[in-house]
Amino acid sequence: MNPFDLRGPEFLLFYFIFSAIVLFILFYLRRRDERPDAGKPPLDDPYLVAFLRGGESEALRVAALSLIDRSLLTLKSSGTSVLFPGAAENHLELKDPIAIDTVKRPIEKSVLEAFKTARPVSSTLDSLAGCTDYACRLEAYGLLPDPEIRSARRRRLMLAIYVLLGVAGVKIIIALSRGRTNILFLIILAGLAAYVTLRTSNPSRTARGDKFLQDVKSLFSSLRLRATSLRPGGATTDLVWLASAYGLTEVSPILFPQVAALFPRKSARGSGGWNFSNWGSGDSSCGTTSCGGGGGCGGGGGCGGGGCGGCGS
Amino acid sequence: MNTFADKVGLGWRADLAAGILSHLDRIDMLEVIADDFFDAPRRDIRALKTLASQVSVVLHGVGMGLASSVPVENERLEKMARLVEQVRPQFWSEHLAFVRGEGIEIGHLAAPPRTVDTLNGAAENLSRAAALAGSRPMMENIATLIDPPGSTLSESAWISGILASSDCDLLLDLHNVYANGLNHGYDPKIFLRQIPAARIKAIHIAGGKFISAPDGRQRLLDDHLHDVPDPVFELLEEAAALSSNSLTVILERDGAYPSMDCLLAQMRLARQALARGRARRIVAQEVFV
Repeated sequence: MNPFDLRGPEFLLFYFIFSAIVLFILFYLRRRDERPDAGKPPLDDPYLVAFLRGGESEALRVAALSLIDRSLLTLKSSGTSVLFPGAAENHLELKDPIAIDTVKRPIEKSVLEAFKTARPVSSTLDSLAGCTDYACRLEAYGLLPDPEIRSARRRRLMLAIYVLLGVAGVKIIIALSRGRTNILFLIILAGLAAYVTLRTSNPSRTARGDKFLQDVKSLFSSLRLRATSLRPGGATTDLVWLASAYGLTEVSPILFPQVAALFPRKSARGSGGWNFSNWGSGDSSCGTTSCGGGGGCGGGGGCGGGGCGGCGS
Repeated sequence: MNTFADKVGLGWRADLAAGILSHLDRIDMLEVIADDFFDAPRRDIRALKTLASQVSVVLHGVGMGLASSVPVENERLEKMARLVEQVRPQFWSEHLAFVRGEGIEIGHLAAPPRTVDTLNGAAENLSRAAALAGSRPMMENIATLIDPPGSTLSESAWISGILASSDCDLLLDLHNVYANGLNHGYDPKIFLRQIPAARIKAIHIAGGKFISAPDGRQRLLDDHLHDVPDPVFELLEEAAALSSNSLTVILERDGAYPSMDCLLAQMRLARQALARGRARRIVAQEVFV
């Protein structure tokens, strides 16, 4: 049976199923190929997990939250220390310069350096993009797509789009040649199929990254249940792990009112979904941006090789 | 020179996850309660395997009831075998206790009468456990508030007999030894000399609290909710001086969690006690030579 001889509604059903199969094959190939045996990702760094889950912006915000909770940063509004931040222009300021030497993680040093003087929270944190080496490390562990994986995804996407639009195009030509003009539903369906393929074929993490994040969440499932009874004041690392594994939205704004000032503006939020910049040019995403904006940052070591530039380099 | 590869670890509890993962550089080993994962979804097992890829893990069972004249349930042994296969722990362990009888779950670890019958029953259960799981479990002595009625053997003789007939090693719970010593009026250090030191491969340390018994006497309850008392560290030193094996020491804490710094401090004290015991052992050997 030639599917191109099917009548309108039957062909639409065929095309729907065909699109689903194409999507499934793309999904299957991604799951199959994106599990490189690239060593054991460390479980001892919450910011690595935050970066994997929500990107660099999220990791920087989690670091800021932890530093505020540990009283190393002070949250201010209009120059006044506030308990409950609701103002549009919240500022953060380093409490004591000595703190920069006492924290051990480079991302925390970067955040503290950026807030040596009182600066707006969101814009300053956004300006620290590229200050950490987490992208390099996550790519090296096969948790984020490296240039090779992105390139493979791009090739498959192009092929899938060609096939989906090609099949629809052939049917449209055949229909028109037979004097039929009721092709609108097929055009809409083909457009939808191409759009869904585009949206789903380049997730921010690899299959291995998804599994690792699920594992971390599973290990911290109890912490999530205790989210409303965590102790503020930096006495434990519960807060930073909760925010890293599950996100700032899981942090109780009653226990930790400062979290409200850290929610990213929509445009700055690290997206787990598709966007054009995700595809890049096929180069590594690590080391391609530099620390800019306020205060600069220090201590963010590069990951060596591959041109992964660290902060301040 | 101290050539022992002693390790000091902590019992994995979900509530301690953040603290544990933040201090993996100071934790040699994690002990995971196996029963929590017997019926866990695949996702949780995979998370456990991820954890085991980061730090050495041992599995600790609490619900088999191996020390009994009643045969252990095959289903539980199979679940343990499956978990051991999936996680590949350094070793797995269980208790010298029974937890059910006539189909009724007791809900805690109970000491059977220390008789030849229970000794033989335990040995048989352990043989089956080893055959099914592919490796022998380490067996842990338990604490009792009263001496098990109907006993004809001393605790040390009963434990030694089971170890000898099953070829299993001993997971020595020092707080249980300390508690039993106080509750039943014997010297824990003498008890340590009565059990086969060559069989001691792992050690539990924990804390408990004193409770009033109906007769008005104070008894030490092994509740794992308190810090490790000094006498337990002294017993750890003693055990390290006696044992020629590298030891795995696990700090158990089941609730009323203190800060992670506090738990790490107790682990540090355990390392110090081990070091003192090893030093004593080396000196003793040199004197002997």
